[in-house]
Amino acid sequence: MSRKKPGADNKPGADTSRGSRFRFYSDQFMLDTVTGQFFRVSPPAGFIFKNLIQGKTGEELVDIVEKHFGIDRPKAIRDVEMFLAELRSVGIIEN
Amino acid sequence: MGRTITVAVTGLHRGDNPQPGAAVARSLRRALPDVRIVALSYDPLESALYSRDLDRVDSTYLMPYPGKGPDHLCARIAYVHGRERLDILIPCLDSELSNFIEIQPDLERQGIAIMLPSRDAFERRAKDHLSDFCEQHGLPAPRTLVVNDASQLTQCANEIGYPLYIKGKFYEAWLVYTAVELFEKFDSLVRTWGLPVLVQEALIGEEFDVLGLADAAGGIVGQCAIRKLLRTATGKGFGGIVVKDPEIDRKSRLIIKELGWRGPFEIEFLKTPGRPHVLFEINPRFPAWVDFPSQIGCNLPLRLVDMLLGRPPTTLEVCDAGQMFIRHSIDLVGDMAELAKLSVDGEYPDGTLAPMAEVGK
Repeated sequence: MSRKKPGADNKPGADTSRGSRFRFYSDQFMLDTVTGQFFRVSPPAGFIFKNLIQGKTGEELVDIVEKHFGIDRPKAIRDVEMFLAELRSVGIIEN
Repeated sequence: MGRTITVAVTGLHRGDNPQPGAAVARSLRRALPDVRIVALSYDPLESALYSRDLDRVDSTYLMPYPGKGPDHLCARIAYVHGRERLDILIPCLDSELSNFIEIQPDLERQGIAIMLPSRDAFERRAKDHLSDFCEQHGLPAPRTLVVNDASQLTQCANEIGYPLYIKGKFYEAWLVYTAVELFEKFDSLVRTWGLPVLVQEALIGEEFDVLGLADAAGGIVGQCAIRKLLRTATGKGFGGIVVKDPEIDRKSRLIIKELGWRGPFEIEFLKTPGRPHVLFEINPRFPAWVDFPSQIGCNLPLRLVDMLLGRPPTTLEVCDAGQMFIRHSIDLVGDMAELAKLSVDGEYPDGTLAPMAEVGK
């Protein structure tokens, strides 16, 4: 009798590693399955976070952002660093 | 088809401080359409008595207040059993559990199945003993002092510091900021629930609740963990979202095993940023949100019935993170004639108290 979950991009796993812990509903809504906190995110933030939870390193994220958004590298570095700092400040990631 | 199962349930009011009985009835009737629900009620105004929905009752009996003691309770249930042939009794209120534990052997001799914790487990998880339990098992807990006399209040409050929570033995908690408020609430709590009263460190954070059912060996048969999404001014959860937190699961298993718990439970944790989950309360019954997991495949009241009747166990699905509930209040129609009959006779064996004339309009 379990209800079908609408729109969840990834099914929960048995572990709570970063990839299975966070669940996206479209590109702009994200659930932390451990804390039950949910967030509305901008499309660029959603794009970066999806790559982050797939295991990409900070350097790789900069490469991806630079290429995907067609911006210069210093701006990509700054955007990624600022975004990661924001995630840390609200406790979504620890490092 | 087997014979109709008759289940007696208490705690049927779904007001601003909702009791669990109606949610238990909903869970059971959804799975067992023929179940007979007998309401053991402390007040003719308990809202589920007026329901015509899944949580409706088939008959109602007014009960003596828990303060009357186990003998009065036992005598009243014997009377109800004589009229209704109860198969199972599911108590849903903290304040009555002690009496039910006392009369459990009598109930079982009468053929009424009931699943309760041992007296020892019940006492160890009580609010005034919870700090000791936490200390013994390395579980973080809010600093709590037990107050048995008004003369101790000021000293306890100074030790804890304002703001602080002052809590009743069974129910009610108030966040107070001043000594004036503290004494006012102390008087109110003592009048309603008696002594002791608890003075507790105020931790501000997210509340996580685990609802579950434990077998006779202290193992968890099934559970559902949520974060409270919406909280009323008194902290009641009017919305929740399923979480999947290994730390909460580990602590819940440890608590239930160490207590050797039997039957339904609700464990409440509080999480403040940068600190581990703090054990707040252990409630000895299903909570008012028990029908939420029932609707997503984890029907714990039904599983309890299976266990008590020795039936094949109902499959319990894992509650998936992200599923959520929102509590919805509605207006039920009643009529003074039914309320009067229940009040005067002490029983109403003719089904719901809602008048038939209003149905379907």
